[in-house]
Amino acid sequence: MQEQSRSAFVQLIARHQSRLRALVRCLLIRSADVEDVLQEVNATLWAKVDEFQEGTDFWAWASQIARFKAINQIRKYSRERLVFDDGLLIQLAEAADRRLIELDCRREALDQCLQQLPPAQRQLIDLRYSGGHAIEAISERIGRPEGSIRQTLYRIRAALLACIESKIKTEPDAT
Amino acid sequence: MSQPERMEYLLSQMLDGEPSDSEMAELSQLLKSDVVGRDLLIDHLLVDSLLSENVGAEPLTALVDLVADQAPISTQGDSASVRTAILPSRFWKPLSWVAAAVVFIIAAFLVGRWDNTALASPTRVVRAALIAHHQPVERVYMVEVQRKSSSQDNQTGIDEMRDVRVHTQGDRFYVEMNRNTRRWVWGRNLEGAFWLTLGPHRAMQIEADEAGVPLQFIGDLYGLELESLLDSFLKFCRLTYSDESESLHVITATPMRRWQRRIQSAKIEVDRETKAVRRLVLNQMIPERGECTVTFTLVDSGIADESKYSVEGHVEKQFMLYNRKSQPDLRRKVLSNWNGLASEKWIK
Repeated sequence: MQEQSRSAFVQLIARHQSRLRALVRCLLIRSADVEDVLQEVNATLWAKVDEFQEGTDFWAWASQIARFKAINQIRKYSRERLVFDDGLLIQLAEAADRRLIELDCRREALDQCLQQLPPAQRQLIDLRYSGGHAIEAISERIGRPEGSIRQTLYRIRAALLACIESKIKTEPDAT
Repeated sequence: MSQPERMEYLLSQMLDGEPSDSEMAELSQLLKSDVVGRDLLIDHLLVDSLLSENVGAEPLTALVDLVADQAPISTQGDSASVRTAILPSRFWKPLSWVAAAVVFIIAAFLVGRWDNTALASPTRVVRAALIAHHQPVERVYMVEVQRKSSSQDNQTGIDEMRDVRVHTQGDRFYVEMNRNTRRWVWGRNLEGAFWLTLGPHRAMQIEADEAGVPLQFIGDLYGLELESLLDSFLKFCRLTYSDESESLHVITATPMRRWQRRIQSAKIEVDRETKAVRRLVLNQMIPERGECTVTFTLVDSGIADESKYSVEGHVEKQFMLYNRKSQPDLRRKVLSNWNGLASEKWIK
């Protein structure tokens, strides 16, 4: 492949990075392995650069590789513990596909919704995501039981989700 | 516990905990028969993924750099070793990659290009610059501004500025502005309020919500929160090498997606030895002001005088501070006398 085409290919990978990450996240369920699997997907895409035909659907091709890598990872840890079976994973992948189409729109909405969070909720989100703290560490830090933190995080995400949905509905042209 | 409550519990376990095998089996059964439940799980996982990406500390760009660094392998000698430095061991398996790395290392050694920074990817270089800038060393940058269109904004007076220097350490900064024989200094406090000196005996504070458009513009142009800026480059930009010299890494940062800042692209020159940012060129698009290129060039570094990062460090002990409480209206007049009529608009 020509240098210019390779450069364009890197741009394609970069542009689809967020969607690939989200797809891997939806299938893996376990957050700890997401970055590793995504790296593996990137490395595979690059290794197969010569197989990609310019002008064809990059996402269709890349998402197949991402699905394959994620399912492989799930099979690896199925030796140690119970995981979702393939049938359910396919159903989840289909549900994810429908939503990934509007991921950019959702991200934009999320940026706005985050700004509307009450300070205490924003602090918890920052601790979890920006600080990268495990629930146990957050629990120690703010002196609340782990179950309560998990529940609060779930409800904050539910509130963000509702906010995102309402913004998407009221701004149909945002995509 | 009702079924929705149970579902909430199981999903929260799944998202932020380690569900047991029995909980996994229960959730699996529930999800197979419940389309709404599946959609709910996916919705939460997507929000989680977006939060990790938007708020998270781990930049997606590092993953892309991993691939991008490999692209110019024939022209950019460092890239093969970059790959081996970043990837987990399982990626080393393809023999060809290892061979390429070994060949490069030998070649680099033979041609004498081996140094302790040879293994650096653009991301690592910027991260090293971030760490270096966090050290207790003050750096002074000369600032130059080039504007594509100067139609509206001679009113701020900034185009007449001849010598502007930003002193910075971490995210703190203060700016010395010299115009002919007149010198004034300004900075921002933790709440975003501007403080500025008007000679040795007077100073002024303008709260963030009082700052008029020209003052905000000056703040955007000259304010240098370098630590946050470097961190944002890591999080939101694709970083690529654009040039090399014996003493410098030259890196271009291009935002990969929408970013709160107005920066369209940046060039970062990092000293190979000290890891200090030697030059930073920011191409900005400022609403209603057009495109600007701001260049920060390192001119000095040393131990910081802590007092200089607040207004008290620049004025005599007995000084007059005009602020919203003490002299709200007099401030406009004083500004106008000091900087010309246009600066009246610095306060809304």
